Amino acid sequence: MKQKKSIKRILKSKWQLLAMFAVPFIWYVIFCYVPMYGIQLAFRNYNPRLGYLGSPFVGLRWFKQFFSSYYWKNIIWNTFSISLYSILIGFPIPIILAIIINELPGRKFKKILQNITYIPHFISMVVLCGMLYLFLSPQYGILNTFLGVFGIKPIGFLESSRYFKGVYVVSEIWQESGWSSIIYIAALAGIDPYLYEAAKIDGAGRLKRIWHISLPGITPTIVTLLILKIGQIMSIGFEKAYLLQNDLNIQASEIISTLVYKQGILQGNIGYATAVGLMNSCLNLVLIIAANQFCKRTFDTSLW
Amino acid sequence: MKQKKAMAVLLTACISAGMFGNLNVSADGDNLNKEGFPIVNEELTFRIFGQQGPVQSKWDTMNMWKKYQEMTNIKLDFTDVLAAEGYDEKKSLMWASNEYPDIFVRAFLNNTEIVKYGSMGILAPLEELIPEYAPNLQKLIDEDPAILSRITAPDGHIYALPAIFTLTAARDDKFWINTSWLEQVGKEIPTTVDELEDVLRAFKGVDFNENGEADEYPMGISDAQALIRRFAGVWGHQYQFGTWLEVKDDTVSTYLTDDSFKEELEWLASMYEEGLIDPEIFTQEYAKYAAKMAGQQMGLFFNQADDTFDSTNFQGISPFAGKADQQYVQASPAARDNGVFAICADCENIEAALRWIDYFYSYEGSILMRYGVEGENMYFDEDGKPHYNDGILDSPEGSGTEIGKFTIWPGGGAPQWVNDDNCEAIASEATLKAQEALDAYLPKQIYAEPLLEEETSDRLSVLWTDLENYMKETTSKMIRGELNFDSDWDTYVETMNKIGLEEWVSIYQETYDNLQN
Repeated sequence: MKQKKSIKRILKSKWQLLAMFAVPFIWYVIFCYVPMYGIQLAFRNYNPRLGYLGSPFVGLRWFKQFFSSYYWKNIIWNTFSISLYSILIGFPIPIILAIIINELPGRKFKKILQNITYIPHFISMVVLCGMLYLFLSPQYGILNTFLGVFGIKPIGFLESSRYFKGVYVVSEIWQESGWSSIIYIAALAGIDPYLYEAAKIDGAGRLKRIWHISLPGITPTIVTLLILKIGQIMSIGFEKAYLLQNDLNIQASEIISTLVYKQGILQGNIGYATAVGLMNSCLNLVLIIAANQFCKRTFDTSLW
Repeated sequence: MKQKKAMAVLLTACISAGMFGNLNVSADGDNLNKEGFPIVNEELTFRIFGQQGPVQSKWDTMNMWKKYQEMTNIKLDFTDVLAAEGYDEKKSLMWASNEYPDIFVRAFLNNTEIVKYGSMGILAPLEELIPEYAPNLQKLIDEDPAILSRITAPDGHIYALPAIFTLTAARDDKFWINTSWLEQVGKEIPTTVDELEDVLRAFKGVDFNENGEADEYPMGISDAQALIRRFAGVWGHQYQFGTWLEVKDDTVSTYLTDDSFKEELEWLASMYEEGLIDPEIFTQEYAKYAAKMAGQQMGLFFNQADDTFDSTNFQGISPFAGKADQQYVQASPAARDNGVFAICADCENIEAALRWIDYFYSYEGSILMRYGVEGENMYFDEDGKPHYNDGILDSPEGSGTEIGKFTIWPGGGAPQWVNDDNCEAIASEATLKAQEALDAYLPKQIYAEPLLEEETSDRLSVLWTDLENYMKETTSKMIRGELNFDSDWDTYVETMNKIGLEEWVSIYQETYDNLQN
């Protein structure tokens, strides 16, 4: 009886908050939880005539099919390594960029630099990949023309599996660093300016101030973003890999999401694609839990 | 209250009357005429699923469909006729939806789909209905029983119908050589591989179009894999089951790891190194190749017909001798495109739908499909031969686009019968002459891509995806000189075997054995 009353009271006093919460909650239920019903297709031979529950159960057939493929290790490694490289190389760069922008004198110059680094984020992926093909073309691309000046023979960057991951990661850094730095700039703005003044009086130089005040000040932000990044490690964007893919770099560019797209959407092997996608999600879950535990122990910051 | 009840009774009566009414029509078969036109007495509507080709106009504006709807008394609902862009995705989603159209026309159903959705009961089995309701198709099958093995699924049913090409010129790519270039460098038409080398070297570096740019290529082709296929024929290999296989003495085998295949690649690599092959074949889009054909930028290239370029200065030649006892040309079987038409099992008038499609397998129907409507798009000459109206074949937009304004065949995949009398648009005199140069090199028996049981087909697809990816990458690198034949060839053979080349061949052997029984 007592509890009921309190629920009523909460409803009455906090209804605005609850109403606001309801919107994302419903969104999650409809778009994230309801579709999970379809996961069972990973264990069934989907027949639209018979529906989800009526389709014959095939156990681990689709998983076996994936692991009987000669290239399954390759595909998982490609997915994993492209993400890993972009975290190792790409993660620190927005932080450095944010600190540089923070330290720069002059509002105008700061704004210009910020804008220039944001702009690539707004280029659509299709256009970006078209630009990459143009820039990196062995016949008339800017980069190869430039290398030619030094007598280096033209390199087919996109026509070889050797350079694919490099092109992928470097172009991602170019496109996203400016945008990702916004959150760090905001975090840096939240640090108490008295701390800097005090350090200055104590005789700390610029590097010392960055090391002892700026970085510790944004560590929680860094760790949170790192965990989130690790959580996405196996779910790198399908568009870019698919658009940059061709016969010559397929060994490095075939990742789980392009495989799922080709098998599931183009060829209609819905069960197989669901199974591979499910496996991918499980790997992801393991990784995010591991990263969270690791950060909890080392940095005392974590998602949960 | 009473009124309400009365109303309910009335409604129920109406509904059941409607139901029985419908049943009567389809059960009696009264509505369907077994011969002649119209096909049905009372008007029907078919929902049609298909792909509007890139060079075609909207289907509801086509003369062909307007005329055929009048003739048959069957109206067509074109809502599900989709653009080519993103078509495969939409087709997959349609299959998964459990809501299907009545008929599939030019829907590019592939073999896997035909077997899969046929056995799920989504496509109607037609084999028992064909003799009665599709006499024209039956006639073509009687003349060439190989068609039957091409379209029959492993469970014995026929779920989809093919396009039939009794015209051989529509089934292979011709070898086109630029005779004006030959004249300019003072060479004869090459007949052996050695002579070809000589000619290509003579072509190299000459500015034939005098524009001051090096935009001429001694030899060009759409892509590297096609190049390897064409020259595999020169090295004496067939291309059966739509892939890298040959059939000799009832044995199916592949030559992908043969020494002769290595020799062929070595030859191509040396040609590539000398700059005799267009370097863009590894990455170019088809449109770019088409532009090179139209721009007369290549000395030797490969295309089915001369509809994409002006063939005044070109001649179709035979495959080059000298590397094997017998040369082969890769060609498709008479039932070239399978899956051009199918009927959904949910369709209430399957017999009418079969009669509806059968007309296009008759001579008159094939004229409607190929030439459009008499008077508006075409005319018959004094000998009764069909011709397009003036201005269509030499249209500045290209004949394909012009014809695509009134019929659905440009772009391929349409339910049609192409024979020697209705091929004006695709087989010019030059093309027919080029075909004569190839006739002696067609394999006696051409096997089509087989329809396989679902599990076999899944296994084959896993194997072939890996084999093909690896083979494409390795052969491309070999031709580009990025891999070394002495050391890397053995690795290639070893890896192909490891991926499962033998098992892959054995699946086709089994299929072949089943075909023989």
